[in-house]
Amino acid sequence: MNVYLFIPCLVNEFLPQLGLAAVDLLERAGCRVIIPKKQRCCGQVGYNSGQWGEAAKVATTLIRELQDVTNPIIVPSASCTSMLRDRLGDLELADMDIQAWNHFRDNIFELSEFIRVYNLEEVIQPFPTLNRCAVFHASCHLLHNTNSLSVVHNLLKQVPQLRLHDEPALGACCGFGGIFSTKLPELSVKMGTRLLHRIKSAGCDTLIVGDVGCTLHLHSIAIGTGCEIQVLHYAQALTSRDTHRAVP
Amino acid sequence: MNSALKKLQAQISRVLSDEDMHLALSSSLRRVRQRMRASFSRFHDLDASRQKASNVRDRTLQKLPTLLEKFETVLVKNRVEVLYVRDAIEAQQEIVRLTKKNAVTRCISSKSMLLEELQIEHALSDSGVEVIRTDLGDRIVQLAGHRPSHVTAPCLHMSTQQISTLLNQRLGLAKSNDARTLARQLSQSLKNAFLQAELGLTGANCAIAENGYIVLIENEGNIKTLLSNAKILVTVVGIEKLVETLTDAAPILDLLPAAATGQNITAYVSFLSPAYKPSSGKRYVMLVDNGRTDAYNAKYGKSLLKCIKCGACMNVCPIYENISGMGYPSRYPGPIGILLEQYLTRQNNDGIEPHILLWLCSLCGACQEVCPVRIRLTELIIAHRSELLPHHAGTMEKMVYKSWSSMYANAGLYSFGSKILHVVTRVAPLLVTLAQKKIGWNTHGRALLSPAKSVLRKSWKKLNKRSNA
Repeated sequence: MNVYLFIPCLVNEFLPQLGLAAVDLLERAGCRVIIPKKQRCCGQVGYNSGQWGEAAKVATTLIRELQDVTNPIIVPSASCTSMLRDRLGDLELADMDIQAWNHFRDNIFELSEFIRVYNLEEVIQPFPTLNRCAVFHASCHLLHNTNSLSVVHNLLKQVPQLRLHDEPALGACCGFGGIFSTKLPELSVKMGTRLLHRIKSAGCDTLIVGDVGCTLHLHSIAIGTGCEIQVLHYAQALTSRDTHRAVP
Repeated sequence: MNSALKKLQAQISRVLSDEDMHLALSSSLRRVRQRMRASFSRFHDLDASRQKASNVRDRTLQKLPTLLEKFETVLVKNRVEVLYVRDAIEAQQEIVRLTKKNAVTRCISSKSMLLEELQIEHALSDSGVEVIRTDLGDRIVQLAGHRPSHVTAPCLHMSTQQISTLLNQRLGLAKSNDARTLARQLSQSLKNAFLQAELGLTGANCAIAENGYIVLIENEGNIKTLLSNAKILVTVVGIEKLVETLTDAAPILDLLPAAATGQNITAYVSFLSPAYKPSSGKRYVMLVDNGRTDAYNAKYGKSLLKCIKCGACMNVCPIYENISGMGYPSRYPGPIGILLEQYLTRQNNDGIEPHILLWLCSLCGACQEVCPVRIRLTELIIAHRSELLPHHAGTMEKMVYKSWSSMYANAGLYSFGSKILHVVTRVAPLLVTLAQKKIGWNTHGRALLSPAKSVLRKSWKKLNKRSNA
């Protein structure tokens, strides 16, 4: 099956390993991965900041780029998924763009949703070993905008040597929140720091999250505060792409 | 930077440094959430109940002008005086006038966020009238000189130890680590206030238009005692609290205790008939607007009036968990608070314009998932941002969003911009550090974002994969 992999802006610029991890998983599932050449931002930054006029321009470009796609479009970010699938209609778009959007929006899947909907849990195994003690943090959009949280959790349980700590209280936001993280940085960083401290006091060395923004934000705090917690997106934890720095 | 944003940051900064408060609040909220979930799980079909409550609220709001007339007619027929007040200033003037007319010097009040919103107590103290709050949590924050930090649990931000010290210092009560012991002592200390009160002030959970009843729910019995002790009774009611029939109050009474405190029902539910009169025979109902009509008529404002003030949205809010009610410069805390503040009539100008408060949300979506009357809180916060923020954006900010949209709407510009970023990162890393500092990223111990040496699209090409779309 041909699938389109949507590359979130932050993944392209800052976390290429995360994108490649998604490619690995999809290829293990037997998919032929296509990265749409001109696909750009979903418009979330402008949308969430109330700049709907500017967001509409970005969204229009994207819709026209994706309008003829009939294959599944896989998005390795739950917040981009939610924007692409549920929120574009809030913007003032031309009728033809709305029609085009309605044409492909049902083909949009967050990575773990795709795994669930196409029953790929078994074929993508076995996973490489990850000798770590980790907490899985349900990122907000994965928790509230998809129903595949348990899929990710179950997949992580299959990773050899990965010790998943059961911390049910960890449902709270990490403090990223897009532009929120720069408008109220002290609060944003404090929220992330407090979360990392809880991971540390649970005796763990790794935090596995479910979205791109959380990965960047928490990783930057872990580095900046010298707190020795490795922050990974679940796609990285399920493949061997468990560092942020290395490039192929 | 915008000075209102700076003021907001400063207020938050003060709260964030208090780790003890965060620990106390965090563990209280964990318990509250567990109780709420347990209580919700006892519903046969929770979503159906929420939908029903939401429909009732929608329907009654639709008819609000008629319901207000009906309600007033019934009350007047029963010789209850009805006062309409436009804003807090009018409300304060009316209350002060009532106390003067009746030579009142001692008031007691039950816990009401509307009394707080209108700053009634403040106006009364200024005119020499003593007000003693009779709800224990509310009394504690009164003694501490704090604002209530939560709509149903005013002293949620304080630890038992702090409360014990406060009660010892202010009322001479024996110190204790046991919350029950403290509650018993504090309750006893209120006895005289009840006996000597000339005027009692309460809010209302619902007001029923067809029969003029007022519904009040509570756990401590202080409202019940207040109602039977106060010689004059004044009830303040936000106009949005009207429902049409007694049956309409049922879904609210069903969900409110579950969402607020995780109870099936509160210990006391009072239905106050319009025929009821306190011993002096004088009873007043004050119907309050204070910006509610503006919300009612606004594009995104009406559904906010569905709110039943249960506090569930703040109980699950990660921002609230980190800054408590003390971090919000709004009259109500939490997600609903930052939205309502956009409409409530502004009283004093503290330099923090309401639209800035819309940033007190990381858009996690927990609140709208839990709201018992299904207010789409997260979506409404974004919608209000879209309505208000573009007008308030500075030149610099406008330029940033304009360049963002131009760049992402144009593939050529994008790859050019991306290349520039990488060149700048290589030859002038300091510039990147400063730019990120300027926008607020690498501050407070969050490290710089360093762009990948090779962006994903480039690596992908190198890997010789087909990438034709």
